[in-house]
Amino acid sequence: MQIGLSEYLIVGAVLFVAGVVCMATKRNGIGVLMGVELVLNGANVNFVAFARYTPLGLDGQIISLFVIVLAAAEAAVALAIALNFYNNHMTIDVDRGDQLKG
Amino acid sequence: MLDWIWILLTAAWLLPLLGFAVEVFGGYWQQSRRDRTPALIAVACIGAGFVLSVAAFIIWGSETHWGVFAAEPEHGDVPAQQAVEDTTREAAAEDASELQPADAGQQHSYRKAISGTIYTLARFGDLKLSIDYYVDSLTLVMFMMVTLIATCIHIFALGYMSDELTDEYVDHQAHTAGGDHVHRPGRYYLFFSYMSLFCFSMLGLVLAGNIFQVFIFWELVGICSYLLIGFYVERHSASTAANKAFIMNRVGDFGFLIGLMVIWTYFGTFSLGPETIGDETRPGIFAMVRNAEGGLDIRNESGSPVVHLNGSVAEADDAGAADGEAAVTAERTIPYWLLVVAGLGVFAGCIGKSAQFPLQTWLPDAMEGPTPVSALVHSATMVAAGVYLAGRFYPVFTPDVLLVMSYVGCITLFLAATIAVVATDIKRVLAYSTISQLGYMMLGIGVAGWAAGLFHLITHAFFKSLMFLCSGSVIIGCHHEQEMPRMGGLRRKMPITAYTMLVGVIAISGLAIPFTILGMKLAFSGYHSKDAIVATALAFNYKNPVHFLLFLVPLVTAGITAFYMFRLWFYTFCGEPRDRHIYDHAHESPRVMTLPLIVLAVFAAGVAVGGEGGPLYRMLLASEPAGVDVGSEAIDPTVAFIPEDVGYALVGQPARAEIHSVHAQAGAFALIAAAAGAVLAFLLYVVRVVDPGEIKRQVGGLYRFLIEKWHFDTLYDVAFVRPVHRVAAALAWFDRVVIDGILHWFANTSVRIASWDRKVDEGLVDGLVNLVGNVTFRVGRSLRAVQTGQLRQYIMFIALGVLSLFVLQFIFFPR
Amino acid sequence: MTAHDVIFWILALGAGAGAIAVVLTQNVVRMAFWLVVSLGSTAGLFFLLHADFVAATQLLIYVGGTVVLLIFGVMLTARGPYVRIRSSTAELFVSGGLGLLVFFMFYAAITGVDWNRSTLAVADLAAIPRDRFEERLDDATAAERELLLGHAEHEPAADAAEPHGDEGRESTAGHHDEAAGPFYVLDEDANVYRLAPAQRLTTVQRDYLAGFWKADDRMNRPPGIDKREGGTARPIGFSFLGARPDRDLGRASADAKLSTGYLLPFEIVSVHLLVVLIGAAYLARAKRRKPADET
Repeated sequence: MQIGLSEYLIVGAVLFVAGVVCMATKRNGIGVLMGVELVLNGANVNFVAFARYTPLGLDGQIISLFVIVLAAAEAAVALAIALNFYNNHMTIDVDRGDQLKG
Repeated sequence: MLDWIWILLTAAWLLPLLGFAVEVFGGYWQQSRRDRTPALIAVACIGAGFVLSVAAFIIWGSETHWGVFAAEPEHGDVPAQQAVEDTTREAAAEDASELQPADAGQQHSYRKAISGTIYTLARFGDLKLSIDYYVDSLTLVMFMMVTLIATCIHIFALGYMSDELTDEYVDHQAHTAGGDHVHRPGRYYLFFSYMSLFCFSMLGLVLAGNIFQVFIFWELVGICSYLLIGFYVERHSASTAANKAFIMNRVGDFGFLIGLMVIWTYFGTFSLGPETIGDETRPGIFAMVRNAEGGLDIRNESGSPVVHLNGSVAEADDAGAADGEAAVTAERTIPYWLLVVAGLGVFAGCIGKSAQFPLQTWLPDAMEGPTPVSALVHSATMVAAGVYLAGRFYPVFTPDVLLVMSYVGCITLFLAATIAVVATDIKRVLAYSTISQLGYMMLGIGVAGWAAGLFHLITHAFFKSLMFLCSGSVIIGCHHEQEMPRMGGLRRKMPITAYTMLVGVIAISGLAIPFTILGMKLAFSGYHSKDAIVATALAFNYKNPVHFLLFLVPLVTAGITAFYMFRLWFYTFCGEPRDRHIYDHAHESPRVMTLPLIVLAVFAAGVAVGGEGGPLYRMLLASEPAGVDVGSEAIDPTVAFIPEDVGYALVGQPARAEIHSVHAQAGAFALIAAAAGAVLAFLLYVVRVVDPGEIKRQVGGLYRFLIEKWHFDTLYDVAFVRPVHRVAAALAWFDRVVIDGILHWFANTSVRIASWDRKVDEGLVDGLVNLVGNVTFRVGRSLRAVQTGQLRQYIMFIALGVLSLFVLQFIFFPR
Repeated sequence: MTAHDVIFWILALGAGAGAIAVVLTQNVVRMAFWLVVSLGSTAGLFFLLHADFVAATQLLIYVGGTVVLLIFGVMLTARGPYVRIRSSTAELFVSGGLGLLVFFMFYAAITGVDWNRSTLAVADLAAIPRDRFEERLDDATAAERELLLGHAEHEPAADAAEPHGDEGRESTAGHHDEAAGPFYVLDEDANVYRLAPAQRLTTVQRDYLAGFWKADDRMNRPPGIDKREGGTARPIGFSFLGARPDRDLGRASADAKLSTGYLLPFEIVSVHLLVVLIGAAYLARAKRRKPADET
């Protein structure tokens, strides 16, 4: 089997789906964050793979760089939010934060 | 130097306007209504006007080397022999040139009118609207007369109106709806501002150099009259009288407007004197309608008489449209009958303003105004403006118009005099006497006694204003009592008033001592002027025997005049007091009021000194239109052969020589009549040979007829007022029922449509909107449950959503 | 199976398994460990894709920074019973099923697309106007012509059609195996040459085609792939400064427009990062909770 774009995309899809499921199942706020990281990472794999196999070239890599940087920033903010959440609820269980329910 | 004349007169004319502005605004905003300053300003303005007028007169005199007084009147002392010869002449116009030497222009420089433009308001093609001046000796005399009398009356009014000098004036003759007396701030300043405005208007009327300007000031004096009659506007009688005066004047002014339109259409100018438009100088109305000898250029063209206007240039298209001859001569023409219409129209304005028959009824009611107003506006000046205009426009009047004028004057003077006999209100007697005297003037002008009519205008102005002021003094002295039957014996209480009044009474009656002292008749002014009129009427009568009434009626009325005037004087000042209360409280007026009386009495006595050789008459004569002095002959179309170019004349007019020849005779007649009237009054009211009440009962029907003023008010009421009311009521009914009905129908329909619209709005539109709102609300509510607040569920939903989108895409867009 | 393939499979396994392990693990700390494994393997995949700079960044920032940050978060919040917050098994099944569905959806999408054709289409090489095609064909070698138009001879034309170095031999073999037919056929309306139906190209073949068309100076189009793989740090640095030497050095004429770089996004991101830094510090600062606030 020739290793081509499709294979990389499948790896990216696995990462993405794992991230989504992680977000959907974890009650721990940190776990949810990890899911987010996985989703972003799956997207990154796609970008870089497209950069390699299509005329996208360096642009794909640069976009993935932006994604990494923004993910880091997001992680920092999300962690701060998680800490605040923890301060307010004395737990990190996201199921407890349902004040905004309709 | 001649320019100074009109400059001075213009200054004299505009000063009262300035005074008016200052008084009306300054007075309105001044702190107290007790301030005499506005009145003093008014007096100063009009007094300065008098000084300026006199200055203008002196300049005029010196510029003309006092020729007006130096030269002998052309016919004043013509031997009777020559006068008789004169009457034998057939064509007056031809001989006129003989009588007036070739160097007439040099010799009679004082006869020349000074005219020009002060300010051009606007020009529309040929029509030039401007403020012009037209100054001749008549203007100067009028200026001096008006300003002098106005000054005296202003000064008199300082005292007369002083009860208005208060912040709260109680009008005992006006009542509010609640029955109380009207309380209002004093209107001292307002009175004097109106007076100033009146003086401005009157002087403007006299100075006016074109007939449109005359009309403007004509209306302005009408407005002032209206304001002053209605000065006590809270009194119903005063406001009604003001309205009456104004409306009746409008009737006359309508005729005036028609005359103006005819003049403008056929003459192409309004200007009295020569008019300069651009570089072109055009002759004025007078020069157009009369030739140098004062004749009308009447020609028979295509069967109807046409008057050619001298020196005028017809417009090109007019010439093409008119018949051939007009195109060749290039002169404007006017059909003779339209000239008559123009003359009658202008005269209609004079009728309204001078309260002539049939528009005479407003003047007695105008006595509702304060007495100085009656003296100034309604006897001396404004009402005389009608006569003045008739004199001014004399050249435009054809003999037919003059005949109408003389009959109107004749009817008026008799009618008013008879009413005056029975009137008991002191001011109303004077008012009727004014109407009567104005009738004399109209008659005088109408029978070709041009100078005589205006002579009477001047003298009458003096003695009538004097008598009105005396009556004002009496009214003040008797605390606003005007009924003569409640007076009597006041001579002892107010001697100055009484004897100045006597001067006026003698003057108006025309009494004189039938001798001459030092070549002068010992007579007051009224004798001379009335004498002149009666003499002219007599001469006219000799020439046109069919019009004998024009002499007889004035002669009889001269007697009646003397009768009612002496009746007034005896009633008021002689005999026993009839009302003790009034008599006890009567007092002589303060000096500020008696001083004008004395001044006016002097003038009333002496203004006509010298009679027809005197300076006043000479001054007037200097302005006499050409041709008046030579008279004319009647040309009866039914009798005589009429040459094609001459036209016809219903009446002949007496030449001055003819008048002079009958002067002594007429004077004797008039003096006898006046003396008879005076003696009769003496017998009835002083000696009481017969009780006047007895006579009253004897001729009760006549008495009531006269008391009711010949039923003119009733007649007008039936003929005009009631029909107008009825038509107005019908129109009001139409308005209320038909038009209001239609409008109400529209309104109701609109309301109904609006109510339907409201139902649609509330049911359908609001329903739809509410439905949308409710559905949205309900959907939102049902979807509320989805918002669990569970983060992980949201993620599941997102994943599910993405999945569903893909599934949908695969279903609907399969590859 | 080349070494490249082997390495790919190892790394792919590490990434995928690590991700799944993150899902399945209930302990937060272990989740973090598996995350590190997954991210690290992904970084390896990046290396494999010649994206050396991105891979290095991935290692530094994600593995070295973000995960450490996460572990700090774990340590700050993990108290007693909350270290292990279990999800219910039912939930796990439901979401796992949903996840599988999503994955199959992706899988269907990925396998349903002819990525080679698509990438040629992106480079405008899937359909070429006839005149241009034939013009270019005049200059082509016999081997190239055969490759393009598919003459049935099995001659070793690899010499002429070998543009690449490292994996050329294998690719060429694959090319001869799979692409026996013509690359291009004339369209029905006889105006356009289109990629032959059901034509699946390997990377090497595609690169060859791109190079073939790029060799034509009249084709004013940037190359799809830089011939020199790897060494991306310098071009990326330039692109952040706004210059694109990786594209513009090979452009057809000096008049052609310059490509745009990423200077402005770079600046925006830097400001964004600063704001995030301040915001995070603000959010995470220690608060004194007052008793009155408790409800």
